[in-house]
Amino acid sequence: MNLVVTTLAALCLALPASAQVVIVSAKNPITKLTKEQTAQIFLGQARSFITGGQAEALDLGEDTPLRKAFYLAIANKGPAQMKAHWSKLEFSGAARAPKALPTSAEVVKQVAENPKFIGYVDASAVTPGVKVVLTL
Amino acid sequence: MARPILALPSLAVCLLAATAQAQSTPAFKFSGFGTLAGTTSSEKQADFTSGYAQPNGPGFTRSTDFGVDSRLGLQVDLNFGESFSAVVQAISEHRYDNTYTPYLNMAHLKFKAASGLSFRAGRMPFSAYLISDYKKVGYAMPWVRPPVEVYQFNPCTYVDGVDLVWQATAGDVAFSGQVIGGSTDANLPATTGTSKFKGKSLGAASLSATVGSATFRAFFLQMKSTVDNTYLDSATGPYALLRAPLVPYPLDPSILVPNPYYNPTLADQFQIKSDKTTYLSVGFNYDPGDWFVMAEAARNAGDENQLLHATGFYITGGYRFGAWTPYLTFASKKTDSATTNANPIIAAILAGGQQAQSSTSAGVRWDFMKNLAVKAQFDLVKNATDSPGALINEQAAFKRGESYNLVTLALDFVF
Repeated sequence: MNLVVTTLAALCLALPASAQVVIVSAKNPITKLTKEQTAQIFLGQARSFITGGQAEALDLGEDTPLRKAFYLAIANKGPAQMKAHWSKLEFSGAARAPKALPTSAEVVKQVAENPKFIGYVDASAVTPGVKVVLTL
Repeated sequence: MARPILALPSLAVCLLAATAQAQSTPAFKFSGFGTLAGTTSSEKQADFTSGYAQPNGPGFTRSTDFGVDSRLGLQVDLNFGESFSAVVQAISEHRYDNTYTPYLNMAHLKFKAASGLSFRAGRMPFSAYLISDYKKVGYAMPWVRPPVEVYQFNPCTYVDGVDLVWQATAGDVAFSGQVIGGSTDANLPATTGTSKFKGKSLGAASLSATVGSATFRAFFLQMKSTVDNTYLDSATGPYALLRAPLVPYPLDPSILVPNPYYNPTLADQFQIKSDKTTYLSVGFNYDPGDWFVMAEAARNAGDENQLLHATGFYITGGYRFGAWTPYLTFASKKTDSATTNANPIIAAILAGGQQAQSSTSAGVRWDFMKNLAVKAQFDLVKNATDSPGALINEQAAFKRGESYNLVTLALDFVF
C-alpha cells in the first residue's frame, strides 16, 4: 500500500507542476472553448464569445513565464512575436493590447466579477467564481 | 478636413472630464516606435528612396544615408469609458522639404457602437495594402522596409474622413472589414518644385479573413486625384503651351504664329486635375509561428494621365531560429501607363514615368533584446529597360535599365 502511494506521489511530481487553464466567469454561458477560439480573442481578432457576449482578454505581466507559455501554446508565438503583433494593432489605431494584471489571483478575481473577461491562470489558482473552458 | 482634427482636443477634454470618475481601465497611454537605419547604394549616379515623399537618398547625394528608413513615432491613446476612445500619432521622418518636421499621421475619435462594430472620425491610416497600417513601424515587420515595388505606389499615408470597422467570427474564421470615405493629401518633391497631391471624393473598402495562421485581404479604392504644381500649372508651363493656339514667333516675339504643338485635348487628358484613380490589392499572409510566407499584388489604374499606372507584387518568406529570422523577398513592378507620346511636350512630361523594376532581397532580423530588433538587408535591384526604377536625382552619367545593390543596417524599437 505504501508503495502504491509513493508511486502515485512520484507520478504526480513527474507531471508538469500544474496545468495552465483558460477561465471565464461562472456567470458566463460559455462552457468550452477551442484553442483557435481562445487565440482569436487573445490576438484581438474576435470581440465577442461565440454565445454573443462581449469578450475582453486579461493578460499577466509581460515577463511572467505563464504568459510566455500561454502564447506559445495557443498561437506558437514567442514574446518578441507577440510584441510585434500588438505593435501592428496598436500603432495602426486598430486595437489595444489586453490589460495586464500582476497576479493570477487578481485575474481570477476580475474574471469572476465580470462575464466579459477571459483569462489564463495556473490551475491551482481556480476558485468557484470562475470556470475552466480550456486546459492547455 | 482641418476642422475635425482641430476639434478633437477640446472634444477629448470634455469626454475625459465626463468619464474620469467612471473609468477603471487606464484612460491614458503614451507609447512610441522608431527605427535608426543607414543605407548605402552601389549606384552613385542617382539616389535611392523608399517612397515618393523623399527628396534625396543614398547614392549620388550621400554615400551612407540615414533618411531612407529612420523615423520616430509617438502616440497617445485616450479612453473615455466603454464607448469612446481617441488616438493621436505624430511621426518625424525624412520629408519632401528635406526636413524631419513632425506631422500628424493619426488623430481620430472612435465610437464603439457594439462589440465588433466601430465608427471613427478624423485622420486614419491609409490601408491600401496588407501592412500599410503599420508600414512606418519597423519593429512590426520582418524587413527593413516594405517592398518598394508595391508600397511605393501610394504616396499618401493617411485619410481624413469617417470609417466603419467591423469584426465578426464564423467558426474558426475571423472576418474584419472597413469602409472609409474622405480625402487624402501628400507633398511630393519634384524637379519642378514641390507637388501637392490631393485625393478627393475618396471611397474605399477592405475585407480580410483570418483562419488560424492564414490571413487573406482584398482592398479597393477610388478617388479623384489632383496634382498642383506651380511650374506645371503656370502660364509658361507645358499644359499652358499645349492650350495656346498661337505662340510668339521666335525671331520676332511681337508676331503670333500658329502653335505646332497645339493640342488642348492632350493637355486636359494628361494634366492631373480631378482624374479618377483606382487602387486594387490582394494580400496573403501565413504565419504558423516558426516560419512565415507573405505575398501581395497591387494595381494602380484610372484615367490616363501623368500619374503612374502600374502593377506590382512581392513574395517573401522567413524562418525563425530562436531570436534569429532570416528572410528572402522577390518583388517586381511593371508600368501599365504610356511612357511616351507623339506630342514632344507630353513625351517630355512622361519621360520620368517609367518605373518598372524587380528586386531580390535577403536579410536577417535579430530580436536581441526585449522591444529591440536589429536587421541587416541586402537588395539586388534590376531596373527594367529605359527605367530608373525607384531611383531619383538621375545624373548625366546615370544609365537606366541597369542593376545596383543596397545594403541596410537597422535598429528598430518600440516602447
